Amino acid sequence: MGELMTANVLFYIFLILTLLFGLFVALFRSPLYSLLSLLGVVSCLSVLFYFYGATFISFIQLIVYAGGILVLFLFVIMLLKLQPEERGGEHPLFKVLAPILFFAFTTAGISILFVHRIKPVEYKFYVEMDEFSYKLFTDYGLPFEAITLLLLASAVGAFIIAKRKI
Amino acid sequence: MKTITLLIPLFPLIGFLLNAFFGRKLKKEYVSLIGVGSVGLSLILSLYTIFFYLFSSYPQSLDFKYYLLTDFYGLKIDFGILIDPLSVFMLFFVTFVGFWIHLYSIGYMGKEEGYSRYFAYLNLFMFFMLILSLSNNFVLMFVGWEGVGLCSYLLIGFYFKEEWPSNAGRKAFIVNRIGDFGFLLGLFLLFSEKGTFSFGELFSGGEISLKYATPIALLLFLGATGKSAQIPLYVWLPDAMAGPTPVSALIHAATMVTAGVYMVSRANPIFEASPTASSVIIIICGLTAFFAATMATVQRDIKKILAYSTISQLGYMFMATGAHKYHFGVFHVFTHSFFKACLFLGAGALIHSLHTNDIFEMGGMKEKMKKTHWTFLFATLAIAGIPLFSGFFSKDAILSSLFMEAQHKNWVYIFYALGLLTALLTSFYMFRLYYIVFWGKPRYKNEPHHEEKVMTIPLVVLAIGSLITGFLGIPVEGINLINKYFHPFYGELTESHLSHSVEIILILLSISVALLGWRVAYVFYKKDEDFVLADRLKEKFKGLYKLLFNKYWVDEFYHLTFVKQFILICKICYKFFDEILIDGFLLAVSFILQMIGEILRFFQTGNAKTYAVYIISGIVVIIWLIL
Amino acid sequence: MILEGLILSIFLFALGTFTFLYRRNLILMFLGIELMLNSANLAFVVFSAKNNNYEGLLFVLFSIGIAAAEAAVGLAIFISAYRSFKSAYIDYFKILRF
Repeated sequence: MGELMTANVLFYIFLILTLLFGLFVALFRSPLYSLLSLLGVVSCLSVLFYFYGATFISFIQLIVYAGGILVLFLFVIMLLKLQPEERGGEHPLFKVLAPILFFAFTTAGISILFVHRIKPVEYKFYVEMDEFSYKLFTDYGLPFEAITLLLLASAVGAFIIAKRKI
Repeated sequence: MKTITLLIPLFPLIGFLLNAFFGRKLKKEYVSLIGVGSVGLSLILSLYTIFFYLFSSYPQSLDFKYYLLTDFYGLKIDFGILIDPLSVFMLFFVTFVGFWIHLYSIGYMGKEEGYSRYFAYLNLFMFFMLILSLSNNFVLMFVGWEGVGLCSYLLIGFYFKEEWPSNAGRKAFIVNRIGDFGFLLGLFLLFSEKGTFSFGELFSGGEISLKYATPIALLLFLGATGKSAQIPLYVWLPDAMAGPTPVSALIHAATMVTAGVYMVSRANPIFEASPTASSVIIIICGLTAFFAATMATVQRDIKKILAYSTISQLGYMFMATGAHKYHFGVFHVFTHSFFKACLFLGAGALIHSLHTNDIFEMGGMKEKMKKTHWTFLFATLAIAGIPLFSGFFSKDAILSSLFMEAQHKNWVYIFYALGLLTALLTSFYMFRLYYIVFWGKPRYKNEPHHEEKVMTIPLVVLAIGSLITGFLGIPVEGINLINKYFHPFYGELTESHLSHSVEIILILLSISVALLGWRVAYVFYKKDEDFVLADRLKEKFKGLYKLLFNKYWVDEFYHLTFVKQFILICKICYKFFDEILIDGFLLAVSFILQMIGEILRFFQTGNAKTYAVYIISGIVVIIWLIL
Repeated sequence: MILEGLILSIFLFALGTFTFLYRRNLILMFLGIELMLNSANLAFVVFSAKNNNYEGLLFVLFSIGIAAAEAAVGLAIFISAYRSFKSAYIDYFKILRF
């Protein structure tokens, strides 16, 4: 019982941490800080995934997202020495539209959750790794291969686009 | 033999391809070598062919089939060459005269722009002309027929930078199209009845039984009037003189325009089957010969005079075919090609050295251009029908054949008389031209050039030709080679029914007429060096002079009746169908689409954020909808 | 736990949208997109846990792959755009607009 309590507390702590880091991502003007906040979001999410029983995805999230993609962003930011965005100068239309859409979306999403009453269910969930892999390579073989091709194509494309002279 | 006959038309084609694709980069010497050499080679080969055909024991007609062009539900068309007396005859003078005119062109076109283009066209023309005269079926003949029309168009419009040559080219092409249309219809009708186009199958017996002989013959004759410039389609030939002069000599005097006569002689069984068609030919071509000769008497442009003279002589040739003496028609084609080519080349030499076409700006050229003078004189004597020169024999043969025909159909006497009158006029206008240009006081402005060797040699050769070719047809039974030569081909058509005394009277009549014309021209234009008499006559018959000088206003008449109406119809079609219906519809469609685009443009800002706004608002709206 | 995860996912997505719309710096807009992708991942995982199957997890895997590809191409475009405009602001990238 005590163990479950601890887990629950930890879950909520990470939940709130994720939300906070998300807010930081939105509010920091400096790309570097914003990126570091995103790193926080990604790490906390990986912990949350663990709480949901998706251990494999949680590690993938940490390794690929935090270790791969975000480091790529970090490289670019450091390479180009990007400065924080100045205040003002935002397009007035989007300055108004962005908060409006933010609130519209959140209210819409939360209201739909409550209207349709997603009940807290009792669940015992953990991933059988062999079953997961079996599904990945049999039923979802085609999308998997498509993703690999996409990655290959994007690697070539990125190389071509970023080259100075073709 | 089979290969050699194929090579005859092939050499000019090769020359054309070489000059057309590489001519611009080659030096002028090589261009002329290719252009003249290819025709020279085909001349040698055709002489070889003719020699062996005449003096070996070949059958009378050789039909070489090289390639089956199509075999479509019984429509069999071969690419084949037919060697028989008629095509050999054509082959000889086409290659011979063609070669000398090619040679002459080196001198005449030497300083012109588009030298290689000129030789390419000329070689292409030779190719098509040889195809026309050697083909063994009507379809291939039609290919050559259209091909020479194309080359004629290209060469008339050779100086396409100026407006009137290109207009003249268009006129020639369009007028020829009308004739070709008739020719095609005739061919279709013939095919519907006989089911074949091959000369060998159609005319092998010398006779042909046709239900629609008269329509077929008349339609074919319509094609011939287009190509050979007879009433009503003769109007293109005088304008065709806009091209370079050697072209006028080769295409519009010696070879292409005689294609109609050749075709009629080739298809003689069809015309034999229809007496009506023969009568129509005599009437139309007799009138053409006469009216063209009258027009020639007052023209000032040297090439125009020769052009009208060509029309008139072509009328003669057709009259012979109308009188069932096809071989005399072809004989006149033959002699005419020599002396008319010689006249045109002489005129070309004059134009080349004086830079003018007006005969009243020449004068006294006798001393300046001796060789041109002598050759021109020979050719003039030939065309005027002075005894011992070639024109005399051929023209006399035609007149006597008309006389012979008149014994069956009495009304033909009128056309015999018209023929005599035309001979008088011919003699008159040719000597008028000769005296004005070569005698009297010099009236030219710029000093004449030297005569060039490349230009004088062809003149001399053709002048000799116009002297001796006539002896092929001495009008005496037994030694008339033309009769003998064509006897196996035309059969009894070559036989004469006139008694000797009548023939002698006819000959004397035509000689006296020719001499009379000469005498009149002498009085008006030689003795009287300032043309006082001629001017006085002009004043007296002002109306007639105007009528003749303006060519009976036929061009204007055609313009008013056909061209203007046609342009009107075109304009109506353009204004109504094109501008209102089609353009209007398309403009309306494009206008609607443009308006839709104008509206949608506001949403397509090209800013990624705007699209994000659309997506997110869409999601929000959907969520609110499914709540 | 399901409800909280979904609410978090909604908030993260909305924050990502906000970042994308509000910021002018292209790299910050990219970060917003990444945030949205992560929120989607979270939603997948939550639904997978709720329905007790693996499909959601598989899609998270694919989504991460797509995110990697998007980041690579997007950053390449960003670098070449930065090179030609000497700026990271999206306001300048409009020479193809009317």
